[in-house]
Amino acid sequence: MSLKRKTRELVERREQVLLGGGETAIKKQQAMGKLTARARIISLLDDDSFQEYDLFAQHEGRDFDMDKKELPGDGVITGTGKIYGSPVCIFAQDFTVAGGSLGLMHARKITKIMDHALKLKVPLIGINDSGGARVQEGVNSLAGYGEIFYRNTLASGVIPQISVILGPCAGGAVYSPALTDFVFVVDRISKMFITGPEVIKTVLGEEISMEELGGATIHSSITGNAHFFAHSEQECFEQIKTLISFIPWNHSQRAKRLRPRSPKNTYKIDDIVPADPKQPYDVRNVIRAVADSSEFFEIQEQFAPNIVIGYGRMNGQTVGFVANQPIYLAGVLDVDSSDKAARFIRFCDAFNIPLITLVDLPGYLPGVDQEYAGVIRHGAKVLYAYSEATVPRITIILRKAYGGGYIAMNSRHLNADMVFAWPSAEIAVMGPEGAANIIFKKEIMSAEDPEKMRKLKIKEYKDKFANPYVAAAKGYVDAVIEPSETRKYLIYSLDVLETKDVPRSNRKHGCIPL
Amino acid sequence: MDINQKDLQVFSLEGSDYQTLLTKKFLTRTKYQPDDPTRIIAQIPGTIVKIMVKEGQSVNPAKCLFIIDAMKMKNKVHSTMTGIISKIHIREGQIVAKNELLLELEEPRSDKKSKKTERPAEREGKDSQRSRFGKKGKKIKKTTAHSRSGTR
Repeated sequence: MSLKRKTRELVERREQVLLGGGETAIKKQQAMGKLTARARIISLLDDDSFQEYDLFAQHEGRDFDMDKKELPGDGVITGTGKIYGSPVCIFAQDFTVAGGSLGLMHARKITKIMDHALKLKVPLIGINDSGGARVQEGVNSLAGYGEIFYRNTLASGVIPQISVILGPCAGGAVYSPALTDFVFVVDRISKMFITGPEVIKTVLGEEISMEELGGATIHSSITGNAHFFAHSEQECFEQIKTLISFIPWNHSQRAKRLRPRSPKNTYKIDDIVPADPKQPYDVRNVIRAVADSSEFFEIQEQFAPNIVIGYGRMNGQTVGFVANQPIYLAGVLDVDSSDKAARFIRFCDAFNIPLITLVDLPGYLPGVDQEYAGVIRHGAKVLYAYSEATVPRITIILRKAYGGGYIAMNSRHLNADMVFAWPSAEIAVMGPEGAANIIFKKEIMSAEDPEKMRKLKIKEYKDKFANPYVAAAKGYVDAVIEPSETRKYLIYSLDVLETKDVPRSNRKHGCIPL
Repeated sequence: MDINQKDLQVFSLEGSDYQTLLTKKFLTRTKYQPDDPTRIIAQIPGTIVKIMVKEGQSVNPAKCLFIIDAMKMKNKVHSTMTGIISKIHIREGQIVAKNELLLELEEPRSDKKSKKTERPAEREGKDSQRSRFGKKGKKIKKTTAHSRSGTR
């Protein structure tokens, strides 16, 4: 056979495999409103940047007549590519081939590209669209999952790991996304759960649809398993690209620095925050008023909205913002918001992203449900995450900072690098009303007009303690600044903190209260 | 996000009233209800296989009330307190949902103790039950108050 003929054979073989599960299966996939695995990779990556691995991989199923079946690429496409010029490793499960089911070779292809990502120290993106384990391959399929989970864990904190749920992802399969850093979901396409509606119905008698049980909305707003919600696959890919632009390739690098840009002047920082600590405002506008181009890329927008997390840039450099959100529940910390913030803080710390914390909270959310849900151990995560973080940590106390909540929000006592306060800041054990009621209880009770006395005492307490100067006098606040100077001080502090180098102990790892 | 002043609600915390929005999750949170030993509630959905007691029968925590088949297991359910079965809401073979009210109990009345052990007349039983049913609301309240102070 001449080389020409051999080359022709290669082209033919390739064409056949590139079709995946064939035209009928592709049409079915499109009818569900989904792109094919290959189309997804092409849409997400820079033009002509995808290089595929293991196109000709063959499955190893022998039982149940599987040996007579052809499964192109064994139901998964793997390779390397680029996003905005940044290298990534990627895999996409192909639902058109045996429902994207995971057999041994399918898993081997995934673990191979994961090992590659760890070696190259570049982000890993996994697109999940699979019916689950390939039952015909039995325990080999379970082995495959286990080997993926193990690598997800090894790669955690070394390279950013992104999971994109573009179809079903059920049972044990959900644990790969769960172990990664960011989970993207698309409305009406993503479905994630440990046990599906049918099992729930037979065992518990509870009837629920797939969408209500594990759809994109549920995971974005109720469970907190997803970080980004999109209405279409294309919107989802744009979100992934934006995220990649904000984060570094691996733990030993910094995020790509862009040209510094001023915030838009539509956000007037002096007018955003009402002086009365009981009045709400959108804290994201404060972030937009200080960040480059007023750009704020929010994470988990719908989950625990009483705390806001996300990325922005200061003077061209990526920073992570954590801010109490007074519009929701007055900005309290609770089980969900603690989990949300703690996880974000730890990601930023692992990947050299400085943290800026904006404080305005009345404390923790009271309630039997909170206590029963373990707000003690969940709240502890925030303290732990801040305390162990070695990246530059800057705090700005905007208004109220009461009680344990004040301590948790990257206070000086947790060894923050810089703590600024606005003149509207109130740092105290609790709000003036509560404090006056306790301190002046006797005076109020024995007064002729207790209500009048209460008001008088509240005012007295407010005048004396509801300000940043008591804390500043003790050195708990490093500087009281004018709101309009915030950006200037942040940029200056980040610059000064460039050389921050904290020696780390050689313990194996801490024991975060999970 | 523009804040619509009309949507704002008062959220009180340690004497301070904050203007804010309440999240759906906060509004739909499970509200705390103290345990009421006079009401036997299904802890798990399943099928009632066998009922071991009758209305009017006195029981104690050692007494198995019924067996519920759930999660492929036959589970024995014992009485929560020493008392009298005042109402049985289930029959054998019935499928029950989680949190469904299955049985109601009441505190034993000390003056009735001797009567209770005799208690042969089923005819009389039905009548007296109906009359008791009318006043039950009051009585249950009383018994819960008793049993609560007892459990603490």
